[in-house]
Amino acid sequence: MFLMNDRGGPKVFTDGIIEVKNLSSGYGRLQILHDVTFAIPSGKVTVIMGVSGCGKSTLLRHLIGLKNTPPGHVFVDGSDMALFGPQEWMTYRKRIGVLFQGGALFSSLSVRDNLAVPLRVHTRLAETTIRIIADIKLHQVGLTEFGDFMPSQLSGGMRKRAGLARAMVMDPEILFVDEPSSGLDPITAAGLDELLVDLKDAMGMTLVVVTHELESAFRIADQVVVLDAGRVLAAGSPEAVRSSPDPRVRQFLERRADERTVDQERYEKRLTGVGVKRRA
Amino acid sequence: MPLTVSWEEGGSVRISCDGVLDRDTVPDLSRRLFRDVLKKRPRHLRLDLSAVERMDTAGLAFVLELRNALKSQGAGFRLEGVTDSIRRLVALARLENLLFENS
Repeated sequence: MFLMNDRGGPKVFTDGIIEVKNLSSGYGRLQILHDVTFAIPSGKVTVIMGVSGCGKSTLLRHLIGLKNTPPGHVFVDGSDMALFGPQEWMTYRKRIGVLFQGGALFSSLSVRDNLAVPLRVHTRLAETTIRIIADIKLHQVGLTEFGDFMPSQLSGGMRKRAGLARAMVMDPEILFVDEPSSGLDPITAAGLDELLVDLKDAMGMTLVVVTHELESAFRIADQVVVLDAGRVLAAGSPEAVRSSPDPRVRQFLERRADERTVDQERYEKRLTGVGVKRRA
Repeated sequence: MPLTVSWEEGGSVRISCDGVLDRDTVPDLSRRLFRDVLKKRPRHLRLDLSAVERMDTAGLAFVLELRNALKSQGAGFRLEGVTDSIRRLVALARLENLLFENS
C-alpha cells in the first residue's frame, strides 16, 4: 500500500525507521550490491556484517547519503531518500551520527573542539554547556584526560573512540558505526560494545553497526544482516542467523577460509596466464 | 519549556520543569534561570524533574551547570522527581555522585 509524502513521492508503510528495498549499486561497471532488501528497526542495534569487500561500506554510504541512491530503494520513516531536498537532508543529518573507520577528526582542532563543532554549528548552547557535553562524551569513551590533545597525539584506537564521542555529541536518533572494533584491543573493544548497548537502552538510540567481527556483532546485535558478495545472505535475530543451515552462512560464522582458496586459484590462473602470454 | 519557580521562606526555591529538556530548550531555560533565580542567590534550590518528558545530554549538562553555579555560591542543590529514564541518562554519563549527592 502506498501513500504520498510531502514532496509528492511514494510513502510506504514500514516496520523500520529505515527500509532498504531491492537496492543494487556499484562503482562504474563494477556492481557491488545486488538487490539488497532489509529494514532497520527503531531503538534496536542492527549489525551489518560480512567479509571484507562484501559491500558493507557501500551500503553504509547509501544509508548516510554519501552515495546517491536511485528513487524507490531507501526509505527513511517511509519517505524516499532519493527525493530528499536540501531541507530534508538537513533534518536527516541532524538525526544521524556517523563514526567512520578512521575517526575522521579535524586534524587542526583539539579533541574537545572536534566534539564542539557540531554543537556550535547546530545549536544555540552556551560554551560552558558545550564544554560539559564534550567532557561527558569523552568520559563515556574513556578519553577523560585527552580533551586538549590534538588528534595526531592519539593512537589509532583513541582516535576511533574520539570519533565515536563526536558522533554521539548531538545525541543522534540514529548512530551509524563503521567497524567499531578495528584497531582496538579486546578489552577496549568490549567496553565500546557495552557503551553502544547502553546508548540504545538509556537513550532509545537506533544503532547501525557495520563490522566483520563476529564476537562483537553477536554481543550487541538485536538484528543481524549478513552480506556476501553484495547480496543479503541472511537477516534476522542473532539466534536465527546463528542457527541458519545455509552453508554459506555457516562458512562465514565458522570463519572457514574459502576466500583463500578462491584467491589462490585466481593467483595461479593469473601467473599461468602471464607465462602463456609471454610464450605467445 | 514551562517552568514553575516557587520561592519559599528562608531563601529556598523550588523549580519544576515540564516538557522537553534538550539542546533546543536548554539555551532559553538556562538564560531564564540564571537571570531570574541565581542572581537572587537562593540558599537552596530543589529542581523537580518529574514532569520532564524527555531529556538529552544538553539537558543533563544544564542540570550539572546549575548545580555547579549553586555550589560556587555556597548554596544547596537537590534533584527531585528523577524518572527512570533520567536516572539511566545520569548513570550513562556517570554523574550519580555529583547529581544525586543530596537526593
